[in-house]
Amino acid sequence: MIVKEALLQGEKQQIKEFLTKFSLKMDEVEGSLYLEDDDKIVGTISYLGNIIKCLAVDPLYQSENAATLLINELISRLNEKNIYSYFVFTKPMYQNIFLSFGFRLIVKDDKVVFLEGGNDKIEEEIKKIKRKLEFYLGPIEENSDIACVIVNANPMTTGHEYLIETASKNHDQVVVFVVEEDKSIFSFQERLTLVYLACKRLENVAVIPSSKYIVSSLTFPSYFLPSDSVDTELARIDALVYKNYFKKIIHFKKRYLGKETKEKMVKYNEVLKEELGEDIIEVERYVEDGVVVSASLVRKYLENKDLDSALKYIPKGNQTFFSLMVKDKYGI
Amino acid sequence: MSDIQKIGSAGSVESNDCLVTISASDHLEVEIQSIVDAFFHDQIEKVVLDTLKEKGLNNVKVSLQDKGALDYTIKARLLTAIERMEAK
Repeated sequence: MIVKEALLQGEKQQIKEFLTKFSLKMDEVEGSLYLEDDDKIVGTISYLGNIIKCLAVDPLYQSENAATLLINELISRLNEKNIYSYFVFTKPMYQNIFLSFGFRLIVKDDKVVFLEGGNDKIEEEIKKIKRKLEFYLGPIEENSDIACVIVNANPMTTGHEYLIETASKNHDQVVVFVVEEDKSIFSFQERLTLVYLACKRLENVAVIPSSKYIVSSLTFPSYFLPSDSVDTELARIDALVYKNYFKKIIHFKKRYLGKETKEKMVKYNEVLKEELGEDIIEVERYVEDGVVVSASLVRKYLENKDLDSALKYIPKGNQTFFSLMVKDKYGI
Repeated sequence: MSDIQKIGSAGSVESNDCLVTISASDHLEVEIQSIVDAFFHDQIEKVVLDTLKEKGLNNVKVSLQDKGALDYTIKARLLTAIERMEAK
């Protein structure tokens, strides 16, 4: 038995076929390894960034340490890429396999387990975030009146500004987490800068990266779930991580959400409300001149190269920087 | 935020081996996960601490996932991890 990296299209196709035997779909991946015996695939594992996914081993080989070979090889490859902390989302039935490799349980529900392995520990990482926040906002105690807003802000609009302002008025301290991913049209750095600029005038607001522990739809692997339950599960995991770690350690009292209109996101907010109950405050969408402001509206204007209309929904403090930024991106 | 961290790792989680990860820290911290923890925790810790002392390292975080490695395996893995960390 030998572990190989899938480089050719043909190999990738074979892995895909192999996975269907386990009723798994091939998810979006960065690279895949497979285990070969007699010119046949008998096991496979893949990764995307720091997320390990699509592990499957032929039942005939399960007693031969095949999973260990694959996981070891993958971990050393991730280490070569300077990734020393990694995550796994899997079915509860596989929880023990990963625990035996030294992975630690973060949260679980009846359909998904979320584990982490490697160097960083969630409690310590969130305590680090807390220390950073105290630098901006002053001491955070158990009874501090502190709230948080999690935004993707792709790009930051007056709607986001309104949501953050509302939280800032109602609470002593407010934390804005910007989702840390480079898959949106605007890069993470750009989005963070825009949010930071817009919030600069609000003294009780700190803007920081969301950390890799705030799970988003872009990284959440869904290949082992029936497609109708993906959004609900994602929201549930998000809620559990928030409740068991962020809320517990940073003592958040409320989490602010913007009211959603898209069906998918409405469902997401529903689940959050279900899990977190009174901790959730849903703020009505910001309406400007009878138009409901949203990031997708701004993106639509930009695609039509209509910068003036787009700028109407961009916070004042951002407009100069924003115009410069979209110049290259959209050729306006 | 990906601040480049001084970190090194060596070994595997196969039987009779251990996976050692060592990173720069502001204090000494040794963390051991072992399948024979109940019997050999102290012994494993001693090997790690002795090796660190030999290399004169005081402010590091070592985490070790042990699958029943013998003393000299642990020491060899740790030394390699230290060299990989220092090569960065």
